[in-house]
Amino acid sequence: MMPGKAAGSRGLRRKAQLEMIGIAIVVVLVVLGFLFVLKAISGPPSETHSGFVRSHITQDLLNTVSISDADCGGIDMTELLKACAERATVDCAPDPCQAFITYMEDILEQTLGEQRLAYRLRAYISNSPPATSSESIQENGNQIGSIFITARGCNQTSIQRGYYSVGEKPGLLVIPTNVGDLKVMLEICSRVY
Amino acid sequence: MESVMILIIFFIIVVLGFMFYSRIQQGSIQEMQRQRAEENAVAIVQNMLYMPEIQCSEKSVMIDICFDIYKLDAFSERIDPRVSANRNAFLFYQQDFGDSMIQIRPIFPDQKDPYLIYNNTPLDDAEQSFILTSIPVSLKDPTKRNTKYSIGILDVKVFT
Repeated sequence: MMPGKAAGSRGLRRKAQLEMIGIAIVVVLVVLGFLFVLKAISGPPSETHSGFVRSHITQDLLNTVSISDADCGGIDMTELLKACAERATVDCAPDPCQAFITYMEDILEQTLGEQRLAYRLRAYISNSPPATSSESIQENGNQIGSIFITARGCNQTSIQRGYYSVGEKPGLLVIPTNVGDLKVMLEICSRVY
Repeated sequence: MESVMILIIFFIIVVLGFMFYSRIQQGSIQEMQRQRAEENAVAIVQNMLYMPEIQCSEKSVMIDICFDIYKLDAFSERIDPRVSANRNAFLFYQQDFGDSMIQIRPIFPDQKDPYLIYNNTPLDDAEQSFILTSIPVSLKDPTKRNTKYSIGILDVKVFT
């Protein structure tokens, strides 16, 4: 083979390689462009329904519970809560706080639990809701009762660690008692991704 | 030869682009339909929660998210489409409730059989997708002097 022809063939091969790299770069750019357009067009999934449910369910549930029969000698759940805060006894339940917890665990599992929602229910008299069950329903720093229910890991630790957030408006029930206003707060936790 | 190859590649890219675009459009249309169906489901739930026909009252004052169990019985009987005399009543409420199934399940203090209020389930139910909304409600038994209220769950299943 002549030296000039061999050099020309090598040059052509090199040029072809460069063109292939160019095409590869163009293809990569086109794919990236498509992905960018796809991401820009597809917004987050609709939250109309889940937003409606989450914004209503906590307050609706507490309102419903507050007037419901407590299955306890004709008193309603508000009276049971009042007895719990005032350390009074009712005929059917020597420990009204525990009776309320038992009923609420059942009700919450049949409503929020059925929808696989993580939740936290806390009762307190002080200005700020308690972080743990030992801080629930205190009068002058002394614990007089405890109503503290959490489910599916919706607790202070997981919220502080950032696994859950309690973005939605919590449900709140306020019951006047002899020891001050008893507040019952129900929150739904959302998983943070 | 080179020009032909360029044209072939160009057309392949155009076809791929068109397929990509139509797939995106299909996705956004489905998302729009889903959103419309969710809005419809929320509207049906709202309609149901504030229906004066079945709401309960205390000394003529309406109570929020509360149903009178006797009104529920009467209402569901009145719009049962299996009874031919109820056809007009059923068609009237069909405008509000569309293709849906509405029932209330008493859960506390006693679990009882659900009250089936409205049922317009499509015939091929198994293949239908649906949006289920479950809201806690109060149920009032006006014949009891004390402890009149119990807790129920309003299930609204809207077929899409």
